[in-house]
Amino acid sequence: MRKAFEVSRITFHEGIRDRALLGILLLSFCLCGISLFVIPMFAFDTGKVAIDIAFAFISLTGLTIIFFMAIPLLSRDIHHHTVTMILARPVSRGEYILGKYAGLAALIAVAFLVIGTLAILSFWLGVQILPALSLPRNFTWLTLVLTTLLTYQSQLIVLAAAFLFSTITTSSYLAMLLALAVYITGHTIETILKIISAGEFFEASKPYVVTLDIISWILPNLRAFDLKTHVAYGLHISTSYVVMVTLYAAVYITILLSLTIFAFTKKELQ
Amino acid sequence: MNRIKHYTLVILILPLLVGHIALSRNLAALRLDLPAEYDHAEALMVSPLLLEIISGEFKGLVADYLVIKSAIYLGGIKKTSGEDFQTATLLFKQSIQLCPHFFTPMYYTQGVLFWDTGIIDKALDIITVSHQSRFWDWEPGFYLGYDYYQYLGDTAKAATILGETAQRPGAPLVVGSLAAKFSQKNSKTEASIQILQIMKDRSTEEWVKNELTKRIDTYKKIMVIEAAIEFFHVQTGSYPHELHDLVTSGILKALPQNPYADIFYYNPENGKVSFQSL
Repeated sequence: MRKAFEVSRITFHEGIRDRALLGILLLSFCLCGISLFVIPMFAFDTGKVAIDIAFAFISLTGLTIIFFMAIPLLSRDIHHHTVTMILARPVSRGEYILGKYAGLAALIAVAFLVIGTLAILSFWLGVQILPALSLPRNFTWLTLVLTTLLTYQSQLIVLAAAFLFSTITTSSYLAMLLALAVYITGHTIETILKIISAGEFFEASKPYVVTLDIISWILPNLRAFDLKTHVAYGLHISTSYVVMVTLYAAVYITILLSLTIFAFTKKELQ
Repeated sequence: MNRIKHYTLVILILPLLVGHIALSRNLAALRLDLPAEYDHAEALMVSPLLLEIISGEFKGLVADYLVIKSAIYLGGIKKTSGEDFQTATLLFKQSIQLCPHFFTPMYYTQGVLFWDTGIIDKALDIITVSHQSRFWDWEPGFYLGYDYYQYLGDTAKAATILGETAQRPGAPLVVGSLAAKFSQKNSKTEASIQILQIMKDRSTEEWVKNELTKRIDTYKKIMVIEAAIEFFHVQTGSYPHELHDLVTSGILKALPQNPYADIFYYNPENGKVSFQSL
């Protein structure tokens, strides 16, 4: 495990050296500017708009790290065989995958922290200078932290999917496309199923509905991690829900990483 | 050698920059002569549900964008057309579908969209969604009750909605008293003025306040005409054939002007007056 930690430390530093945080910081300042410019356009729901903008930036930052950093990094290592240099040392393939995953997860966590802090600062600044700006209804820091935590978990699932696809495919573009498909489907499949099951717009055949149902069981339900509405309107989040979603994420990530390690162990590296 | 390279670069870039500025100015001037692209409100003609699928985790942000897009064409310098009202309705519907708790689309729907009589059903749908989703808020139910009474003439439904709304936290006492008042036939206009006054007091935007002031004044004029008709009815036992009869009979010195049409609309069979076509 110590070796996996060492790989994660190197990956994290690699990410920092890649000036990823500089880009994230720049994005955070954009967020502050956009928030202060857009929020005054609303007479009501200013807290909700601030939450929407902040979480959109947080999600975009995480996705940028996954799609433009994690996938190319892993693909380069595997497909250009630079991974053999690491594996030549006493590091197992499993430790390599776990280390890389932990390093990138830590990078996403830092990005969330940076952008989240600046979002809070910009909101505080907004409250000082914009009289119309108000906190969302029933606002609590706990709800905000829980919502951010669940958003982070959903990104960890996409990251794990990106790892699997980077290992089993031979091209980083293909891995990117498949991970993107998982992300989009994960966020939409629940709504699609709900619409089709309601049968309001069109009547779908039974095999079609069953197929979709199976897909929804296989792919992650990322919609379950989206609690932005709850924090924006101070809606109640039960502890059991948060625990259940966290367990769901933990199990799903474990399955994906296990498959990745299995596929990577079987992969022939020259 | 390096210095020469730098100077050459500067000499090359400077005319390019001047050229860029000159071209930008000319381009902007040319574009001014083109027919305006954004004179009227535009919406993506897709089902709100489809939009919900497309928006994914950014649906809150998309809902915000749709409200801004719609609000631009309402209360602006240009006169809002019937088409704009239709488009705004779709945009608000899409927005409320994406975020049913969103107050702003409901508020604009109530404050602005009901001016166009052709979209009452659609507007009611939007306010109903808001009333059901914002279970902690009395305002959507307050407006919904008023709309059922004012636009659909459904007294029973209005009283039920207002009665339920009166139970919500923070609901002013007037909500409950209006529920009772709505069941009295002759106090309709007075109740409308009271509700519009509350809406005006709650509004923060100047253009919304102005619109509501205009509407309150209109209802006050209607109240004057209604009182005159009632007086005419008591004296003669019948309703006047036309509103002008109120002037010729000496009850009114002059007929008030309808801000939304040339005259007030009048039904001589039941004595009803409205600023909209009856």
